[in-house]
Amino acid sequence: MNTVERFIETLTANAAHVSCIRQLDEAIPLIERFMQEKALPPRLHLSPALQREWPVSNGITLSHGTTDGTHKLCASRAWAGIADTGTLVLLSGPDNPTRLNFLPDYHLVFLRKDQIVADKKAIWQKLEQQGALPRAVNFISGPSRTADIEQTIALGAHGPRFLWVFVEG
Amino acid sequence: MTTEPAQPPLVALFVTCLVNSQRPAVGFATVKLLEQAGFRVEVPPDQTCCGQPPYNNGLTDEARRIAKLQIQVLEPYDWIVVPSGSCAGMISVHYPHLFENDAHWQERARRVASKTRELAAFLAQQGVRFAPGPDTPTATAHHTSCSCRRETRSHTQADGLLQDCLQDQLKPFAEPEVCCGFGGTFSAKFDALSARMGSQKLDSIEAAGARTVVSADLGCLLHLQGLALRQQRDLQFRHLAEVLADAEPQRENKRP
Amino acid sequence: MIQRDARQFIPNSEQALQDTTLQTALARAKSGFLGKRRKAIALVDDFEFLKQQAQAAKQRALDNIPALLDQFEHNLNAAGGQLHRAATPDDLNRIVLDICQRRQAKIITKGKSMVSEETHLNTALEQAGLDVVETDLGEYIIQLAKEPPSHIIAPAVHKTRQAVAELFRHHHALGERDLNEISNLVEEARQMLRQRFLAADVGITGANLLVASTGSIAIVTNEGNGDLTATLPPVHIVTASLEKLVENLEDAGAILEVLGRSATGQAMSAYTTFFTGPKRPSELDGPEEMHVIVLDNGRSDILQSEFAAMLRCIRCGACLNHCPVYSNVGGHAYGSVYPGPMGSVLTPLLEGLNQGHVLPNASTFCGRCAEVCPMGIPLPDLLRKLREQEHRQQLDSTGWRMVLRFYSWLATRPRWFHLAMRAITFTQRLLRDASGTRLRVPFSNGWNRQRELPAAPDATPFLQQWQKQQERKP
Ligand code: SF4
Repeated sequence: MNTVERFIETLTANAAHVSCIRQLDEAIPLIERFMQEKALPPRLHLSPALQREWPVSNGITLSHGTTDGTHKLCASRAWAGIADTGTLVLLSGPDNPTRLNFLPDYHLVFLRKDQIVADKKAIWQKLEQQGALPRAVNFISGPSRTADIEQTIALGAHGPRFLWVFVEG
Repeated sequence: MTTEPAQPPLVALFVTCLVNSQRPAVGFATVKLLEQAGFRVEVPPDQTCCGQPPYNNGLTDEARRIAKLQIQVLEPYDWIVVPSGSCAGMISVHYPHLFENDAHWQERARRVASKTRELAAFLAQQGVRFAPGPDTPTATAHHTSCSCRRETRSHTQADGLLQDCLQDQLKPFAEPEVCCGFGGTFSAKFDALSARMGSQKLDSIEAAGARTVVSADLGCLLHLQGLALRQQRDLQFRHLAEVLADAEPQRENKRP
Repeated sequence: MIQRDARQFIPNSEQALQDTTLQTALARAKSGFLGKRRKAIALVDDFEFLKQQAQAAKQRALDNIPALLDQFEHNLNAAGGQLHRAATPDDLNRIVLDICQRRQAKIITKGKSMVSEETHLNTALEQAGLDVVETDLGEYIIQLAKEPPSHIIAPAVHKTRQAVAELFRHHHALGERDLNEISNLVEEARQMLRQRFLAADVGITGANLLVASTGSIAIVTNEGNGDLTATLPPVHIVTASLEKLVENLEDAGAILEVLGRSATGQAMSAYTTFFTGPKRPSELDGPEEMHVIVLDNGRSDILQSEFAAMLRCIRCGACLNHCPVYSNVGGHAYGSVYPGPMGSVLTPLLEGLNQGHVLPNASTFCGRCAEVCPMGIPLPDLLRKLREQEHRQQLDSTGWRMVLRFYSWLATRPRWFHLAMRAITFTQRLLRDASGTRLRVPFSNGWNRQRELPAAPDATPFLQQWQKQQERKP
C-alpha cells in the first residue's frame, strides 16, 4: 500500500470522510450534493488561502475570513498529511485562521497528494526547518469526539462533527 | 579409562515460613520433586524467613539483617529452590537492591540471587516433564501469583508443567493476570478490598468450571481458601508442588 | 460521604465497595480502557521501542530542567508570550487572578488541567467572584456535581449516563427533553458550552508538553475544547508543571507516540496543537495575550530525590486503569487530586507524608502498573520507598510496627524463630474447629472479618519433621 492509500485508510478509520479529486473544481458538485442531502443552506465559508484559488461556483454562496461560529461549513487548506496515523497538519497564519478548524459543524480540508508523508518524523524535521513556528500547529485526526460518558464514543463534542478531507492530484 | 560419577548438585530447599508452619506437606512434595529430578537436597536448618513482611512495610533495616542471615545460610549450595514466587522473587530480585550501598554484601546477594529459582522455573529448566497420575486433580485452575508473573517470570514454565500433567483438565479463566488481592500484610490492613479482589478471582475460576485451584504461592492459596470457606464455595486448594508430586514423572526426569 | 482526605482511604474504600452504581461505572470503564489500549498497542510493530524513545526524551529533559526552562522562556518571549514561574500553588493562583483582574475578566473558560486541580484554582477564582466554566465534558459534569475528578483523563468516569442526565436536567433549564442517549447529552453540553466559549474573557488550559527549542506548549484533546479555550478569548493562560518540558519537537513527538496509545488507545488523539505565543499582527484570530505559568510545588526537590523517576509521568492514566485497587474503589476513595498508583506516589510527595502516608500502603505490589507504564516508572519500588519513609517518621501504626519489629527480631535468630513457629503450629491445633478445616479465632481482626483462617493440617512445622526424618535415616 502506498502512502496516499494508507493515509486514506487511517483517516477513514478515524471517522473522517475522504474524497479524491484531480483538482479543486471537482469538489464543487460533491459539496453541492452534500448540502442538498443534508438540507444545509448552500453557504460555504473559506479560509483566505482557499478563497484565492476557489473556482467559480454559482450554486454556493461564498464568504471568507475567520468565523464567529455562525458558519456551519468551513473549508481550509492543510499543510501536510500523515499517513501512519491519519492526521492532517494545519498551520495558522493570515491565510489560515484557526477558528475555522474548530467552530463549524462541518470542516472541509483540502490537501495535495504530494503533501502526504509517511509518519510524524518527517513533520518534525519540516517544522524545525521552518524556523520559528506559526502561532498554532494543529494536528487533526478525525472529527471532534468524546468518551467521557460511559466510555462510549460520541462525535461532535465541541469541535466539528464532520471532517471531510479532499485529496487533490 | 573410568571416571568417578560426579556427585549430583546440591540443592538447598528454602521452604518459606508459610509452608513451614502452615503446609509442611508442600515442603515434602518439593523435596520429592527435587530428588526425583536427580538432585541432592538439604534443608538448611538456620533458614528463617526471606524478610518480605518487614521489607514490604518499610522496615528496610530489619529486612537487610534478615537477608544477611539467609545469604550466609544459602551461599554454600549449588542451587536454592523456593516453593513460592514471592519469596524467590525477594531473594533473586530484591536482595541485591537491599545492598545498593554495600559492595561486599551486594556481591554476596547477587551470587545467591543468581542461584535461586522458584520451583516451577527450576524444574522446567531441568527439562522435567510430567504425565497425569492417579491423584491428579480434575477441573483445575492455575492461579499465577503476581510475583511469579512479574518478578521470577516463571509463570509460563509453571503453565507448561501443569499443562502436561493436567492436560484438558487445566481450565483457563478470565483475567488471569489480575492480582488475587493477597499482598501479604495488605490482606489484613485493607481486608475489605483484599476480600473483594479475592472473591472476583474465585468468581472467574468458578465460572470457568474449575473445582481445584493450584498455585505456586501459598499466601495466595490461603487467602483464597479462607474466602472460599467463609463463602461456602465448593473449591479445593493445592500447591503446585503437591500437584506435581502426585503426577507421573516422565523418564527424562532422572539425571543421567 | 466519601471524604476528601487521603488519610481516610480505608473507610472511603470500604464505602466505595458498597456503592453499586459506582461499581457498575468502574467495571464499564475498566473494560473500555483496557481493550482500547490493548488494540492500539497490537497495531504497532514495536511498542517497547516507542516506550524507550519516549523515556529517553523525557529523561534528557529532566536532566537539564533549569536550562530548558530558560530556553523555553526565551523562545516564548520571542513569540510574544510571557512566562511566569510559580513556586507554590498559591503563587500560581495569584498570578492567574492578577491577569484576570487586570483584564477585568468576568467569564473564564477552562480546558482540562490537572495542575489547576492541584492548586485548587477554580475555588480561588470563584472566591474572587469570577464565573469559571470547565469545558472538557467530563470536567463540566463533575463541576455541575461539585465533585473532584475521579480519574486523571476521564474525570467523570464514575458517573453513569443516568446520573449525567439528572445533573443536566437540574442545571440546564431546558424543559422536557429526551436525555436517554449519550449523543443527546453530548449535544446538549455542546450547545450550553458553545455560548460560554464565545463569551469568555480568559481561557485557561493545561499543557501536555512545553517545548524548549520553540517556546511552544502542546495540548492534546479529543473534544477540541482545549483549542476553543485557547483560541477564542482575548487571553490564553496555560497552567503547567515543570516536568512537562522537553528539548525539542522530535522529543515531544516521541512522547506523543506513547501518550495517546496508553491513555485512550489512539495512535493520535483527535486534536494535538502546538501553540507558540499570541496572535501575530497579520493574523485574523488568536488571543491577544498568552501567559504560561510553570508550577514547581516541590518538583525541583523531587528531581533531586530518590523519587525523581516519578517526574517522567505523562498523566496517561494507564496505571490507574490497570490497578486492581483503583478499579475496585475509583478515584474519590483516594481523597487526593491524583488517584491510583501514580497518585499514591505523588500525593505524599506533593502534600506531605503526613497527609499521604496511607496511600502507598494501598497496593499489593502486584506490579501491573509498572508493567503498563509507558514511561517505565518503577511505581511499586517508589511506593515501597515511601513506606520506608512512613516507618522512619513513625507514621505507621504502632501495633503493626511492634509486630513487625518482633517478627524481624525473631527472623534473625533461627533458634527463637523456630521455637516460635512450633508455638504457632501448636496453638493452631488448639484452635481448630470440629471439622478441622478452619481456626476459631477468639477475636476479630483484618484477616478474618471476611475470611476464615484455614487450619494447618500438621501440628509440627516442616523443619522439625524433616530433621526427625533425617535423624532416623541410617
Ligand atoms: S505513572 Fe506511568 S502509567 Fe501512570 S499516569 Fe504516569 S505515565 Fe501513565
